[in-house]
Amino acid sequence: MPLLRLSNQDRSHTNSANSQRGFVMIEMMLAVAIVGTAMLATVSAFSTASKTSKFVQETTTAEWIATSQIELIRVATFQVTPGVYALVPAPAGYSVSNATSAVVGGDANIQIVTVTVSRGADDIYTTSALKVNR
Amino acid sequence: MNSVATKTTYRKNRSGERGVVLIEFVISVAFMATLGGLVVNMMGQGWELNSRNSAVLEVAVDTSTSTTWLVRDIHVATATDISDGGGAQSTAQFTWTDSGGAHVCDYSLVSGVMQRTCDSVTFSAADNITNLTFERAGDLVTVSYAITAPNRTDISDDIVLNVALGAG
Repeated sequence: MPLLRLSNQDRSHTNSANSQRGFVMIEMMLAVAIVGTAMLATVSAFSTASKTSKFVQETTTAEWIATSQIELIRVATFQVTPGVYALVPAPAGYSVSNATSAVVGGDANIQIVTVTVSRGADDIYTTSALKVNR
Repeated sequence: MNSVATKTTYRKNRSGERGVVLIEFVISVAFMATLGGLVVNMMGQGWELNSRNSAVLEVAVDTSTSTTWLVRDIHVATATDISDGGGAQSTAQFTWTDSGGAHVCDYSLVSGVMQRTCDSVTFSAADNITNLTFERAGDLVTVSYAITAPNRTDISDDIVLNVALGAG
């Protein structure tokens, strides 16, 4: 008698023949959703960790480049504002720039030197120091 | 009784239990294999990411520690044995005097370690160092060295640090 009876009894998975039940669509969808969410969360965590690692690496390098630039400016001859100072060589992929601005009060023998380190088109580190003409 | 008569796609075995047809078996194996592949791939990526992050952090700590000590010592120094305009040398000594007396700080590369010996106390300023050199042009001391993460040659930093002598 190869007939399948789709009665309420059958839908509640109480097959009297073997009392075994299969998966219905909603169960499969739930399982796929749970597994999918877990994988998405894992991928998201990987992405965050990767970005953090890149940030640490770039910031560490940018810090010593900026320090090196500030130190070079320390020993350089005073450039009248808004002059700029000679640049230190930066590692591949990085670039450095500096700019001078007047301090509040207008003392021409003191200036604010701002050093910016960029990675590609992004400015990733900026620091400032005072330069005195002496 | 209402019932719907239709052809079943499942066959029953001799004991009356419903079995699994080949297509179901193949699909389930393919699904599990795909899922297993994804999990293994993720574990591999996780391991690589962890290894990379550890290496990056190690290089970052060594970079930060070594540059901090170098800047501090060269700033406070009033004299050095680095020859002015004399080219690169592999060791350097910085000296100064303060209220605590005269101080001497030596930097050298010993078995891949940048050693800082100040007033007879030695410690590692950075590990996994190569090509440590010191140069001087007037009041500007340039320290060059490379830090490479252990077992990860792709994670490194080639540092060229300028420090003003006696600026602090």
